[in-house]
Amino acid sequence: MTRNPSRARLFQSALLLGLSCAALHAQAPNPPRSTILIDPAHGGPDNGARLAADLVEKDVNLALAQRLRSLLAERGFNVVFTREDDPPAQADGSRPPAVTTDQRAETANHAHPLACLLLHATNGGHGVHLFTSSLIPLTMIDEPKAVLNWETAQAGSIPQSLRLVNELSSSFNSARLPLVVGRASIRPIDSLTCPAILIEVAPLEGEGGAKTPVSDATYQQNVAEAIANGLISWRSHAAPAEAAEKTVTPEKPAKPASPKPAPAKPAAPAKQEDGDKP
Amino acid sequence: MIPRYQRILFWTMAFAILLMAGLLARGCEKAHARLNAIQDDSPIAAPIDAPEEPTTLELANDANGFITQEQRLIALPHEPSGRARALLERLLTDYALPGSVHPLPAGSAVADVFFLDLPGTHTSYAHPTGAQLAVVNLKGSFADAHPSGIESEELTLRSIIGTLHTNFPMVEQVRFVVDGQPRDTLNGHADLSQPYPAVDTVDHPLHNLAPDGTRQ
Ligand SMILES: [Zn+2]
Repeated sequence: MTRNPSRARLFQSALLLGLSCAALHAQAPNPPRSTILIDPAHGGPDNGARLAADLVEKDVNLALAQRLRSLLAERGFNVVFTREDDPPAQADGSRPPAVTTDQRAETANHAHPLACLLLHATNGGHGVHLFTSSLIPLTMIDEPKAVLNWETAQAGSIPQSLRLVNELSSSFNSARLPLVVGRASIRPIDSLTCPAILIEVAPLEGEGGAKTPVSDATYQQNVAEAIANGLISWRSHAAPAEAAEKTVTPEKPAKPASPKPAPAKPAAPAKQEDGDKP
Repeated sequence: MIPRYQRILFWTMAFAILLMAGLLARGCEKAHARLNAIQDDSPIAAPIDAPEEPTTLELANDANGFITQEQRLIALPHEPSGRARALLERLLTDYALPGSVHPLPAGSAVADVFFLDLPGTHTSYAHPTGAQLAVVNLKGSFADAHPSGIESEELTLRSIIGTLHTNFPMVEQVRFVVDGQPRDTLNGHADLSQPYPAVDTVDHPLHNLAPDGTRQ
């Protein structure tokens, strides 16, 4: 069998091209971060709201989170959960301890996600409620801090969180889902360094007062799709590299529930009030 | 020709029929009102020996998440603690009425309201009498039955804080306890562990203060 020199050269060029492409790919910067952190709120002994005789909020939050994970995975997102399931009660009736809000914040801050979504469900109000932290955003005149405070870490991400709410609001409006947008600091949102929002799903009120409960599969799917569509838009608009540079892991206090160290100021009205409490 | 006595009899009977119809209609109205009163199980306000006065409430609406100011004529005692308790009791029990846009459980909600002087603030130019911390002691039965949810719980706190701010200008901070004890949340969401600044909540969301009372 004779060897064809031109075919050999062609093979060599193809191999070189392949190798150089692989080398180029290896040298290219990391692909845009597309991790989404989902926190199905409550869990374990904390049931959250009682939505019906046999339905509690923690289960609805987890069901919605799982729907959202499937949709996001299909769209190329990497999804991280703060809790995967709801551990059942043990034989002696005791429950394993719940994932604390501080542990959830730690998971979120270590994942460096593109967005953090804290999911809740309620029987109060109507439609979908979106909240960003009510912390005052850090401004240009604030001194740059090497280490963020655990209780107020979100202050540096408020502008991005507000932009994320805008993206999701547009998506909910396109899906014709009624929306209430506000500010509320519900734990652990203030300790998060990612663009973060609280999403609270309330029953849908149809014409003639007919209510669609939050447990309705179609309603949950519509909400999940609206969130996923909003995140696609967010991924294309957000500046991941810039956000990644700004991300500083806050210093978590040694004891999660312990307050901030006392400042130099002598006034401590809350502490004094503790002593005077009725 | 109809005899005169027959005409008198006719008109007398016609008048009696009209009178009975009127009485029947009034009886129906009274029965209807009584039935409605049975459905409205909000507590009857304790009698207050004071004239009604125009009072501003900051009212919550679940449909849009807004707080709006509204004037009501309310009879309130003069003593500040009793006045604040009566005011908040009226605010919260009104939310239990049928058709409320921020539905809350019926029944008494506020056990007491205390005012404490904030140290180091008595020289404040804005409050020559001294800035104060209002401690609102909610009843456990109210907190436990409060709708559990971010929007509902936040709006209740904003409504209380805004109403206190509007009616008690010397109050700079508000702290909540339940049955006299500190509690983490109202019913699973809104934070009660730290004091809140007393602000007009029509325009301001809530953000609690650091444990030392400073803005976080
Ligand atoms: Zn919840």
